[in-house]
Amino acid sequence: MARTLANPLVPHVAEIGTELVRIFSDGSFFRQLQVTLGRVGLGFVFAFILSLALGIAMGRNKYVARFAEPAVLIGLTVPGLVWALLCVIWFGISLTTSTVAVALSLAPPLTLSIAQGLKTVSAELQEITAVYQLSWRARLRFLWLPTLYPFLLNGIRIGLSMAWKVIVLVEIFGLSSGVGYRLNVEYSSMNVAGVLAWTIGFALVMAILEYGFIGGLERRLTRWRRVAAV
Amino acid sequence: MSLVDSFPAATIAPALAIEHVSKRFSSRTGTVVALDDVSLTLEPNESLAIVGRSGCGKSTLLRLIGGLEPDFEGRIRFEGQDIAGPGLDRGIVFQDHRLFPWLTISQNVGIALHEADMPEAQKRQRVAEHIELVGLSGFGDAFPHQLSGGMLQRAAIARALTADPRLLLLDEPFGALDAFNKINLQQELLRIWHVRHIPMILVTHDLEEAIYLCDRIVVLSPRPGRIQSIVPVTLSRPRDRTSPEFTSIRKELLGQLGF
Repeated sequence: MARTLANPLVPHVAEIGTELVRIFSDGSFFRQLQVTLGRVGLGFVFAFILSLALGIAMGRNKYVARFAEPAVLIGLTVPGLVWALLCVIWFGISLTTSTVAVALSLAPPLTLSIAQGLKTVSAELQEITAVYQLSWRARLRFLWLPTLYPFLLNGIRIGLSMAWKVIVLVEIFGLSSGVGYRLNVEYSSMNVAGVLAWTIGFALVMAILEYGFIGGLERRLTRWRRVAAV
Repeated sequence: MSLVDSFPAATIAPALAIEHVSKRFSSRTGTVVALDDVSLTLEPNESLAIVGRSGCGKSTLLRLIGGLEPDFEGRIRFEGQDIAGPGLDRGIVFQDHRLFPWLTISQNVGIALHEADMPEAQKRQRVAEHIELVGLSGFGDAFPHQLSGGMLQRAAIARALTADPRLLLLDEPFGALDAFNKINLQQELLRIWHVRHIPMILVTHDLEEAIYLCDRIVVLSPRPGRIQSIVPVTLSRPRDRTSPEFTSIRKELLGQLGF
């Protein structure tokens, strides 16, 4: 399509290619990617810890569940754009902004997923942990986490894609570095090829993360499963 | 003449004393009396079977002894102590093996020692010993889905014994196995019981299993669960399942159960 249309709005494939080669070869892509990944990672870690604690509490205690459910549901409906805007206003240009914005967008779906996952914990195995007097840490390690792995992996997948969308917004509005900031710069100079090049580079990294990291994690965590031959 | 000499049997404290135990389950549709005034003692090294039709409360009684049901009337004392929740002093084997599917057989057996105050090397050795005891040497690194039902139940027995319990509770342990596996595992259990010298309580609906393994057989009547009779089995071990004595006990038990 781009080949036939070739105009300033939809640049030629070669143009995007040149742009891609430029940002990769001068090192700017990896520099900015590192910044953005760091922000996503930090927000992700906070969201993960918060969701795990709240999700397990909600899954194990119906009062906590009733208390926290409205907040989680409201959190689910707030657009990432709103979190991005609010965090820039509240925390200004700082690492807190990106961390909180990512964490706030990720925590609700992740919490819900974990709370749902905890309902699938086997009552029979729960009794076994009681019979052998396992501490709560051992229960987490041997029963809750393994039960939650599929839900966590799913949460990580959805969460990562959401985190990208939010971090780009935060970087456009409030920060002066990162992939989102570069996108904004290219946008300001009406360099469509630049915008597309950064987006493609980004998508590539996402794919590598999904197939390399999450896929590998999934294979590792579920190697105990029986695979049907038919 | 001392008191000990004149009453030798009375001086041995029972391992387990169940006194006037009743258990009710309440639901929206009403209250079900699962156990009604059950009293029973278990001697050290004794093997006791509890049989009865389904719904007679036999599994409930075992769960009470295991500390898995908190509310009941009466007293259950194990080695003189009131039972307050589950404990490592009582090993339990259920009908479903209840192994963690994501842990290997060794790791599953090791669960029993996870909270034990013992060096790691010693734990590993104990786990290996028990895997050998139940005849699963070489399968320690296998995941549960790779083993057959009988092997999984062996692993469950190993786990129940690894923490060195002083009472073994078995809740229809071979109920889900095929006939040949069942006989095989009953022989294995007898061998292990001889090696370990601990009392055991076996809940089963298989009369042959009860007669083959146990010193006394408690027959429970259903709704409410009450002790109907206690049948002693004095045949010498190993018992011949086809002998006339064996068959006559079986006949008596069938009569007790109304067949």
